Amino acid sequence: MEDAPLIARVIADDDRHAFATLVRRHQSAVRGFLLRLCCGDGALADDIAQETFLRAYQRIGSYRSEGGFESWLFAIAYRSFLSEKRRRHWSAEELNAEPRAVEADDETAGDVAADLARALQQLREPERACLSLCYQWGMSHPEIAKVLELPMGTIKTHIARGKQKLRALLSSDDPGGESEP
Amino acid sequence: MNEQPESLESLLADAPYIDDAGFTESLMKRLPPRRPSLRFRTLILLGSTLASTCIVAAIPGARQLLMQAAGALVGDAAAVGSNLVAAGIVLGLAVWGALGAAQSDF
Repeated sequence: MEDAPLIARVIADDDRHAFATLVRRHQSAVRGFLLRLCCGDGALADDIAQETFLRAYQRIGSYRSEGGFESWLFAIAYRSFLSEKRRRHWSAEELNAEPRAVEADDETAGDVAADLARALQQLREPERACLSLCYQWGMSHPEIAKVLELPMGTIKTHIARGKQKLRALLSSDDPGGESEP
Repeated sequence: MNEQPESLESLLADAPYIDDAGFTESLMKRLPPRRPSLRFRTLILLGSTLASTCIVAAIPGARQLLMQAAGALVGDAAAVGSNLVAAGIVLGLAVWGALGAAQSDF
């Protein structure tokens, strides 16, 4: 079943099963997006993801289908992330510079993924959000502008700068000495 | 480490599926109590409207009541007396119906 009839059932009858189906369907995307924003802090990403879905449930009556349900969830997730950031008085340095244990450090994740995660931590949070939405979730620039509530020009700048920084970080020597000649 | 610039996009595109692992279940436990269904809210709205209509229809000379109530609003309160109480009930029911409608997701 597609999203629209499930959403209609949640709105009309407060159908919890329908809402649970929507959550199961989109939890991976929302948690993955937040994981990137939270620099690999899985527990924090999951807390914000729970908050995101709770807010989505409370506001589902105001959902309009133009942008797609997942984009709508991403917008709520990003706002939830920002309010959590404000609530905890995170500074950019605190969130970005302190390397957290990256989720991808299990056996299946290679060095490249870990390097990328570390490099992403060095980016500013809007740059991380833009790159994640653009490449990880395949969203267009206008869609990202809508989700992040930023002008299109700013989105393009964040993506270009983010990529530039990532390339520089990934091509430079790793501080841990893991670089190859 | 040396990263090929052209592979950056594909590296970024890597989005491994995150297993639910109880996420949905714990979220469902945190949802607020069930709100009245749309059907129930519609029944409240229709019921209150119907009830107020019946009360007005049951009062002898309903039109006169309305005229007297209007007169009371401009200062002739003594003339309407107890009919104003009935008008108050009608008004209360109408407000109740309006609140029921306001809480709905129409």
